[in-house]
Amino acid sequence: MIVFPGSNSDRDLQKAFESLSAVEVKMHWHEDPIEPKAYQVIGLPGGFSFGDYLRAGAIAKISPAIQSLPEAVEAGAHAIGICNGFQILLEARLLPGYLQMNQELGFVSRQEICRISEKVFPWFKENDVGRELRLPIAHGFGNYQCGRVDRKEVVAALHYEKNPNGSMENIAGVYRSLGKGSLFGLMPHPERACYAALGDDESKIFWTNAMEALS
Amino acid sequence: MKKFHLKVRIRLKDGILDPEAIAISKALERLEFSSIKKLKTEKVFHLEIEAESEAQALDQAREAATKLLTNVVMENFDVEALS
Repeated sequence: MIVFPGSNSDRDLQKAFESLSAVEVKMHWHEDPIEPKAYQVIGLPGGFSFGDYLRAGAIAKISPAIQSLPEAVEAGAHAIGICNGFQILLEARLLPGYLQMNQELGFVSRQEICRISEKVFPWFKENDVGRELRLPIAHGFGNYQCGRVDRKEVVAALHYEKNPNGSMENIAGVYRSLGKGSLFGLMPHPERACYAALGDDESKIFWTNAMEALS
Repeated sequence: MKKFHLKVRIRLKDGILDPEAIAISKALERLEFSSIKKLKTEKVFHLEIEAESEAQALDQAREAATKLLTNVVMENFDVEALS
């Protein structure tokens, strides 16, 4: 779990992964480069890294951890960037496109039905495709746009059922294979919907699928 | 080495949602400025750069703009030497 000053969902994501007893999570400070093969999964949490100064994710992208991320991914790590983590992956140009302000201009914080649209290793399996999940969203800049998507390399893996922010083709998350690993950026927060006691545990499949695929 | 003052102006590319400009335009309409047909916002950075020449200072400012100050996917920039 890469932690930046201003991250605020790092502990949520840590707890979500640790809900699987076999998983060990290390909190990795952004100033330390990532050694290739150090991690199987690299989480980029939500929040406001560096206070969203300049642009969301713009300062985080030059941290030693993010600068060394492509090499770790090529060596086999699977990176998942949630909300601000997605913004960082876009600023670092590791995923194509950009996020602009929500179409209705306001911050949206609610639950949205999202549909799994593609099989993407290690997050979604073949038989997950078409499945709907109720996921929390909480963002002001979630309006994803992309001029040209090379669909051989990049796939839109998650779509909103009803578009909450004006995002192109209702896209909620994009996935890219890179070397032996992958990058998945998404605006919804699955780490906030994996406890039955809190009302929703459907998005546990993110972590259970990843564990099953990578063990 | 001399010191140069440079200005980097950054603006959203056409077609990128600029909510601040929309809100200001609506406020101007409310004040009955019917002659103002279009409004765009910009971000300006003032840099003081030590360099051998103005050309070198301009190059450094452009590099800073490309690598960090601007997201070239959604923004354009230009650099101007002030002194």
